[in-house]
Amino acid sequence: MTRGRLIINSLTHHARSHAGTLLGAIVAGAVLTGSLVVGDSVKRTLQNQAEQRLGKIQIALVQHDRFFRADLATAIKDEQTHFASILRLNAAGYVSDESGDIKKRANQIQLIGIDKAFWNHAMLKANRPPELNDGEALINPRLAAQLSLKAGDEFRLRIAKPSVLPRDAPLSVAEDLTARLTLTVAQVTDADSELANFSLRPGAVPPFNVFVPLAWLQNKAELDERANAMLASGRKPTKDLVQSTNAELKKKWRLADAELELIENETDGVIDLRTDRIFLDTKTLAATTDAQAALTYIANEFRLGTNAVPYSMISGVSNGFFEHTPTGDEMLITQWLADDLGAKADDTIELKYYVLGLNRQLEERQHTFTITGIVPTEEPGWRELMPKFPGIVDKDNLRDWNPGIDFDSSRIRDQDEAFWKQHRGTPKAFIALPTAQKLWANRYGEATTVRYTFAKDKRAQIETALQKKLNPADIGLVFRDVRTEAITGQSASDFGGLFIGLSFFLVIAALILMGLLFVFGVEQRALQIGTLLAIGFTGKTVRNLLLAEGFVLALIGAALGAWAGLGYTQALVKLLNSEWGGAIGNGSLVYHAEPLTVLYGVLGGLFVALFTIWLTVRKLSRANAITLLQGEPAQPAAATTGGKAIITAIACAVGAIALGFAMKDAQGQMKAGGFFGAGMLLLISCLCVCHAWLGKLAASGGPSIASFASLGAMGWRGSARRRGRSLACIGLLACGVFLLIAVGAFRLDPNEGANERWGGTGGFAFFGQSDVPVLYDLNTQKGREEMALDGEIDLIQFRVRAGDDASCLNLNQTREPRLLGVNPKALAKKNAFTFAQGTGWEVLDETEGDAVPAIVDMNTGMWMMHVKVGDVIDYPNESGGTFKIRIAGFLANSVLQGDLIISEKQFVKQFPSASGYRVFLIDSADPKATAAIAIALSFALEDYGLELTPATRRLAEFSQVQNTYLDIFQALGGLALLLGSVGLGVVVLRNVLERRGELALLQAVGFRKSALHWLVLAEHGGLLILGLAAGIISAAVAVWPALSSPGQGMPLKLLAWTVGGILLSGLLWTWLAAAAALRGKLLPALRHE
Amino acid sequence: MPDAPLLQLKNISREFPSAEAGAPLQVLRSLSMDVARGESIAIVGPSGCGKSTLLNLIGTLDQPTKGTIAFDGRNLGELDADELAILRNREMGFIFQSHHLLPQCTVMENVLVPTLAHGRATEDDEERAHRLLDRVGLAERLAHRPGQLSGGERQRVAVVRALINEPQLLLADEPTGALDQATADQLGQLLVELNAEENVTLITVTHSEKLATQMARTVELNDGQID
Repeated sequence: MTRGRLIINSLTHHARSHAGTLLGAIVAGAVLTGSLVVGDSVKRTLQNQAEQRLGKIQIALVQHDRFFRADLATAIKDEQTHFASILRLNAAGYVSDESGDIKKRANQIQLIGIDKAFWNHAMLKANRPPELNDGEALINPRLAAQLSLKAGDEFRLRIAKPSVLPRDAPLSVAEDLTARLTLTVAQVTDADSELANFSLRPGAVPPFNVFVPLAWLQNKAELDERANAMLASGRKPTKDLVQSTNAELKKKWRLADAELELIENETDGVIDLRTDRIFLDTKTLAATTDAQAALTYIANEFRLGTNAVPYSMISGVSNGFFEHTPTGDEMLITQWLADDLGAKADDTIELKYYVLGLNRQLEERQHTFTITGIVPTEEPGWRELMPKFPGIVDKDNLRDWNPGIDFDSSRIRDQDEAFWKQHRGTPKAFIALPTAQKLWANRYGEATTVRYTFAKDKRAQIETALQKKLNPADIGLVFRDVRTEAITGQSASDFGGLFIGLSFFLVIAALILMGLLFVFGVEQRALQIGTLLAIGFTGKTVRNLLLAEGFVLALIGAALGAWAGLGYTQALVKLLNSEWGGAIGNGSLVYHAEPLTVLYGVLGGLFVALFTIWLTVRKLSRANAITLLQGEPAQPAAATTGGKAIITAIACAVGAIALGFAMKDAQGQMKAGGFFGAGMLLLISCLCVCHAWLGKLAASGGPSIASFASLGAMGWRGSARRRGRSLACIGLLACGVFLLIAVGAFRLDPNEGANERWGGTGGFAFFGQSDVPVLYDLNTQKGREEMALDGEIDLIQFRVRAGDDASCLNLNQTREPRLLGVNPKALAKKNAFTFAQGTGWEVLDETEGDAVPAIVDMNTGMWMMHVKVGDVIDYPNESGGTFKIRIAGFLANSVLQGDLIISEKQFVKQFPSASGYRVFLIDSADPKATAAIAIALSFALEDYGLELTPATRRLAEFSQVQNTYLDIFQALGGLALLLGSVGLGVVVLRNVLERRGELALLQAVGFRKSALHWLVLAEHGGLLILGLAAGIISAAVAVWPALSSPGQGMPLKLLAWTVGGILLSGLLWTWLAAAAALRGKLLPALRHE
Repeated sequence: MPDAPLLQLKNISREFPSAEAGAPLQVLRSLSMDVARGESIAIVGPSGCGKSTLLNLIGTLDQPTKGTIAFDGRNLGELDADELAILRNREMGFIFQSHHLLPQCTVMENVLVPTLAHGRATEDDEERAHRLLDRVGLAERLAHRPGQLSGGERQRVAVVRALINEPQLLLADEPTGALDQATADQLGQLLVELNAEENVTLITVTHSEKLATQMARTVELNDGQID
């Protein structure tokens, strides 16, 4: 005989009573394991998505608004690594019917120019790459479905015509921004083998992809031999590949990859450093030595008294360009200008010029200079000082100029035309470079030419020196690891943990049921325990023996539960792919279970079950042998008092009323939170009242017969017999029902405050996104004219730096959310949106130290980025480095979910090349006019791929995530309460079995069995109804704001069914328990008594 | 100290708090008694006189409100709960009115259960269990479970269980209370014989005059005091 043998004997002997305990452990284990495996399934889904979008790609070089030589891929190739340059452009796609009307449309398409090297990154290299001719396209299944396309079909794309010169740069031409392409579908590619869903960023859904021949796209986009992304994959580990490739890149890059050009002019004796971007940035300028810099700009007018010369070039030159280079406000003018204006030394000249505002708003300014000398009309090399201004450089006639400024050709005189023909863009005046920079330097650069003196072989020397001094990473020429993080399948939220949270009630209900059954089993063995204590076992030893029994049950339960949990996961995955699709952005989950997770589930199930069992037997070490041997329970309930309960009940009820009044005018989630709190106070009040009532009932009786007037009343009195148990039943049911219903208070209603500034829509009617940036302020007359937009419009425009979709629709973990730049004053003036934390939009203009303040939607901040207000994060800037962003505020549930918002001023500082606006909030001041405005805007910006979404619909999509999680919580909570009602049945059974003798006595004195049934039902049904009533009344207060808001979508029917189900299930179990306890002959129980 | 009494009770009182707020209920009042080694004693008296309370105090299942109990020269009041449990296990054996056998264990296993309290059953324990079960006429019932035994047989198993650790003191609380007269007589005789054979001191609480007369000494309790 051993203790092990004793435990095994006990387990087998009490197998029937242990069956319930085991069942509870199985349910708890199943829910725990099942929930954890949901995490595995999400992870595998994300891994699959990552495989489908990255193929074999390990690292990538991605440029924003810049272009490098496609040949760079060949230059840095090695035997172990495949490189592929690609050209990615934004596009909008259309399919028209025979009459030319647009039938189907898709925005935010990735148009990708690829060559054969691209297929090295596809997953199944053995597959023959799909053939692709000019004008043909491979499209991915999602786009094929969206546009209803199949091989051989024709479709059109509208692309944002890329420009080396940023569209927002001064003097860039803001027309001819888009181009139309007509393509034929060669094949719909396979997502599993052909990298159909290629994307370097994780998204909520696969992208729309169109693959075309690289050379063809380069030609169409007028970007010959250029690319803006390079992909690499090979045999090296990713970390090593990043290092070695960046090292190689640093050696092999050329000035052309930074859009720089060295132009040798032996005749003029100069070598000029220029850029197609017109303006040389500060880092490039700092890298040059032994050279002169010049900044050439267009002067609208030189004026001396009544004489004026229009549209001329003027250069700011650095010291040493002339023998007496101008300083300060000095100016050297050419002979031609002196003659034309009749100017001489010491005269003052008024210079007029344009500067370009943030949204291409032209502002004419003027500056006065003093003439310090007259220089020849042209010297060798002077005409080359004019950069290749688009719309000017290729014009034969001055009158044909099409600069990116207001140009009045009527002001052109014959002599101006003659000068242009003879001297082209030769500057007519020279000023000091620092003065020129003060007037015309901008975020793109501070000079237009760096000039070296010509010498043989000097060009190569200059290039080598520049390559050494410049870091390619500063202009974004740097490879980054795109694979490691993606392929881990890390999600934005811990879905395993999330589903444990959502199934929390179910686990608790199973554990309570298990604990109840186990403790009742222990109570049945009171005599045995007493005997063991009497014969010398210590309380601790007896407790450990029972714990050992519990351990075996918990282990078996956890193991079987883990197995059953896989079924639970499959059911959850099925629901998440259907009814509960809103929780995961209507994506598609695959079922997957990792053995280690299942093991964790087993261990978790074992732990919680064993812990629950320990809770039930922990006091056994202090059990009294005599009491047990007399057949009393091992752990008698503590006595309680009722006076304090009444005081607490009154205090809580008063608190609930006060809180309700205080919150009646609050808004949104604050109101919901306030009323939830009031409901909780009322719940505590109700439970205290029940507690006091049970106490009073226990003390009632005596001379009065009133409390014993009927069988029902006798039943009520019975419920006070075991006050602790009764109160636990009421409390459990009340808390369960309260939570189940009250979480509905947090249901988001997209229509709530839809036209109000404080609402989630910010009072805006539409949320718009375009594929092509809009360069003008559409709030101004001029902006509307430029975009051929009729009528007035009131909108907020955002600049966009592409990033990850950080909305809750995206399951992936996001490091770089999309960044928006906005004028904070515009939003502050409208007092748009509600701040969950933070003071308002003005905070975006308040920079503290070097961190840029940002506002983000609270859901995005908390759940996707995992930041809080005050946190500082690093964000990549355009020059390859990072800048600091300080989270300065959280927006309450809004249409701006998924984006990080900074001020426009800070945005253009960090991303000078990002032109125009691509996100819009269209105001709804006049709801009647809104629809007309939307139609007009859609028409005007059709070529820009504008997609307008009603703000309420966008908000509803986001709200659906939270609302679906609430649905899941309520559904699983309902299941838990049904399980809890089984627990009630167990309590009833136990109560009745304990009182078999008492009931036998009642039968002996003439009560019929049916009357005894009624007695038991009255007693326990009363507890059930009390619990439900307390929960429902409190919850009704908590959800009052939601109930009083039209269309908030509380699932009243579901809740009514759930509560009804709990009531019926509770009554059923009570009846069954009573029937089980009262079956057979009761009278022998009298003898036992 | 072979001649010293095995058990010495000096001025033992036991009070229980009253259900109504008032004076506590005095069950035993300044009771003193010596029990010699190998002695057999019957404690008799009317219901509520404190017989079982006295037995519980001797058996260390309860502590006196006043007074001291010395067992084999050791003051029981100075021992902690674990030491008392070991004492109960090694030096005492209990027999109750109801046998309180573990239904999940066989006869042999039930007998050996006390050996597990602070260790495990040895071969010597098993041999002793065999011998005692054979002695009480249950040699053929070793693998039977309590449910397969008669009331008298169950009580005999309980007696053997009480003797398995070779205790110095055997405490029996109404051991024949649940048995018919013939079986009760047999059990009484068995207890007396084992008292002599095993050299174990026997204290039994009983309402049965016949059992009481089988003991060497009878102590009559009345209103918490020895008459």
